[in-house]
Amino acid sequence: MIELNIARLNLKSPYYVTRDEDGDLLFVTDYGVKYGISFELNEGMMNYPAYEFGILNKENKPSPSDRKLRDTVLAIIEEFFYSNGGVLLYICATGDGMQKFRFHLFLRWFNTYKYRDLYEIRTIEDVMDGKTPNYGAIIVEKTHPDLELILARFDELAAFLKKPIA
Amino acid sequence: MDSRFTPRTDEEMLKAVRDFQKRQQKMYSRLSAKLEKEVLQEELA
Repeated sequence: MIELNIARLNLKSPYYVTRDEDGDLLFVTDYGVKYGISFELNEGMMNYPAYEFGILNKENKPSPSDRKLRDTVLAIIEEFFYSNGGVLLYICATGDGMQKFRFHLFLRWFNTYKYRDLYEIRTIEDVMDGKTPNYGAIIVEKTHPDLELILARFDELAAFLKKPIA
Repeated sequence: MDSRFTPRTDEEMLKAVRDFQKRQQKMYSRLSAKLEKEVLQEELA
């Protein structure tokens, strides 16, 4: 389970974030939309330990102009890197067909982050798995000692995904 | 290129992607169940 300092996170996060027994993070926005966020270790996808970032709101309500939501998500990501370092892998879930919107919103938010320049971000966009378009990104600190290896493995993954998947 | 980099075969890559998708589905199901429970508790309160 990922270790995050919830007290420190809540000093920065506009919405109050709680963590449950599984380590999942939960919060509710001013508009009553409930969000769940998870970080799960995955070594297979990148052939390198990476934490998969998952975010869900059950109501599937978009909140693109909720700055407090953006700042809460960015505070959580900042706390992830502060507590853990490492590699963040975000592959958008495809079940609702909203992955392109969600992905671009995530990128737009991350590009407003005040410490954005400290991170290397690589993306996979519009790669098809059958008839389903997929979007994803890795975020890694530029100072990571294995940066070159991590980017090489992500590029390998991206190249594979760009081919038609059987 | 980092000397530790060794390319994976397409079969290895496909297995990694499919395993990832299964795990991702479980993660989102878990989050979904938690959020649903919270909504239900709120409605009952």
